[in-house]
Amino acid sequence: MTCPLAIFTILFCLGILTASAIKINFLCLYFFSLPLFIAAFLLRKKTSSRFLLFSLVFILGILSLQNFRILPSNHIRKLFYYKDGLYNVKGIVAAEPLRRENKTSFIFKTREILSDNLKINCTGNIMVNITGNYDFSYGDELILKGKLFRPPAFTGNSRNSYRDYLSRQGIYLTMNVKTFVRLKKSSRFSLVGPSLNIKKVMEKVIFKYNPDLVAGILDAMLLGERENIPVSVSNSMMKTGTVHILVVSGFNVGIVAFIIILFLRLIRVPRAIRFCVTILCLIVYCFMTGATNPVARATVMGIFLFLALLLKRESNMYNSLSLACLFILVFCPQQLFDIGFQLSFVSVFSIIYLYPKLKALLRIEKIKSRCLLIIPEGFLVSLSAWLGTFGFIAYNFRIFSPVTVFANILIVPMATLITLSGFSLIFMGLVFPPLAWPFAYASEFFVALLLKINAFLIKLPGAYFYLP
Amino acid sequence: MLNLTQEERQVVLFFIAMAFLGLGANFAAKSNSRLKSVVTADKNIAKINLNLVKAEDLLHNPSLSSKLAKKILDYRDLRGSISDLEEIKELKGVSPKTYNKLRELFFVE
Repeated sequence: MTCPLAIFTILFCLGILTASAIKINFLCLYFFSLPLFIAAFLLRKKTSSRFLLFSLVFILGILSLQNFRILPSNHIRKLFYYKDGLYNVKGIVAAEPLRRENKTSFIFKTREILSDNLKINCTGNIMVNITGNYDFSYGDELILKGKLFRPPAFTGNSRNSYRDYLSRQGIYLTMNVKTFVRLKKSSRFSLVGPSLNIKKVMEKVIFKYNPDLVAGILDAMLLGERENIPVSVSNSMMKTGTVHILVVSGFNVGIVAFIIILFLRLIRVPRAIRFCVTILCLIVYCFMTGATNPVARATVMGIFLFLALLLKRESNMYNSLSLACLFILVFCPQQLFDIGFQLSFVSVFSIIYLYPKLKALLRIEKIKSRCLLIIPEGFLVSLSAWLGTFGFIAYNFRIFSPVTVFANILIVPMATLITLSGFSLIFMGLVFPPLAWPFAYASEFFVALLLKINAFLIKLPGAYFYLP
Repeated sequence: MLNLTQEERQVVLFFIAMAFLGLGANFAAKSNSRLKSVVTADKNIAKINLNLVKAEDLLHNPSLSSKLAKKILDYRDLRGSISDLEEIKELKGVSPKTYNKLRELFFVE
């Protein structure tokens, strides 16, 4: 068996699913697993010890979700009594704020709540909304005054509500801020703050050399910042099933790793240091782009791959994917129910599993020309990903896009060119600004072409259908 | 299906044991968490002192319109300072309802 982690991951996920369906007492199950542990240590017989290992991983999945749902007694959710009054909440900005349409939103890590002249130490995150565009940044310490609400439970076109979406991230309250007081910036060191500062520098370069629409798309594709993309653009790309290129995903992480490795190789950095630097850069890039599910998955997979190369061990894609899945679920088991998480893992799994099978079935290796081979290979990768994800997309977004497979063959190469020209633009804009303009023009051209292709694809008959 | 050697099995068990211990410790910490302190806070905390607030900050304050902010700033400049918050009741456009809202957010000292 070459991929034991895959089995453990499946069992862990099954445990989470079980915990979501039935209520089990945490302590009872915890103590029930102790004899299983002792038996697993003592038993030598393969079949029974295997069964015990599987059971323990399954129970671990159940306990993880149960534990995630338990809130400490000083959690802000428990200190909020639905009182129609103003609360003062002290804490720090826990994620890069999102500014859109004269509104600033961010995740706020609470430390103290003040109500009725009482100050109580608390924990937990809340989602903060404030009218106006403010220059808050990660780590800023603030006192916010406003009303606390439970997030709205409307679902819109999706099957999941905003309340569900936030609760999966451990956020149970939102605050509409009336006024605020700025304190100081948190002095605690973390890699997130410097990473976000690098991101700001890069964004400045992108917006300096490109018109707003192009810069917004580049910002989303390279740095994961979607606030400047017009809704019409994301909607049209959703219809063709190519909206995934507007977010940072494994594809971007791969390109970043490739550029860094190539650069370090050019300046003849020793192999071991090269891999270590690349791993560090991938972690920084992960924080820069907000550590979303696809980026976290790709970063863990990338780190696993580089460690395997460093230790001269064979890497296995199923094991890497499973490890990335376990890594995310251990921190936040509720992510299993997040559509972004599901699509990210299902698409990669489909490509790893289906692509070689489809390739063998259609015998495309008979094509000798490398150039000609790119087309059927691209088609099969796109088809594999689509086969894996169309059910999830149809169920969650009520849209079915047969044009997706064809659209991805055209749009993914364009996205590769945009990503490469975009990163070159950032590099040149920082190192040698006079040479940045050609890359800016190239990026603008590729983005315009991408939008034209997408607009053409939408107009094709039967390109997409909305489901009832 | 899953052919692990004895050593591999022990390593897997070790990781599972660590995960169980971590979960147990986290659960115990959450279950035994108590409110550390409940103290009486300064009643003006998170309120803005209208005599000290910068014009720019007041104009961009999300809780009042820039028109009203400008009126308050003009009044403050005219009088040198605001001695009582009730004075802003005299300003045009400040209804009792608006005043009650402002009282929650501002103070003078």
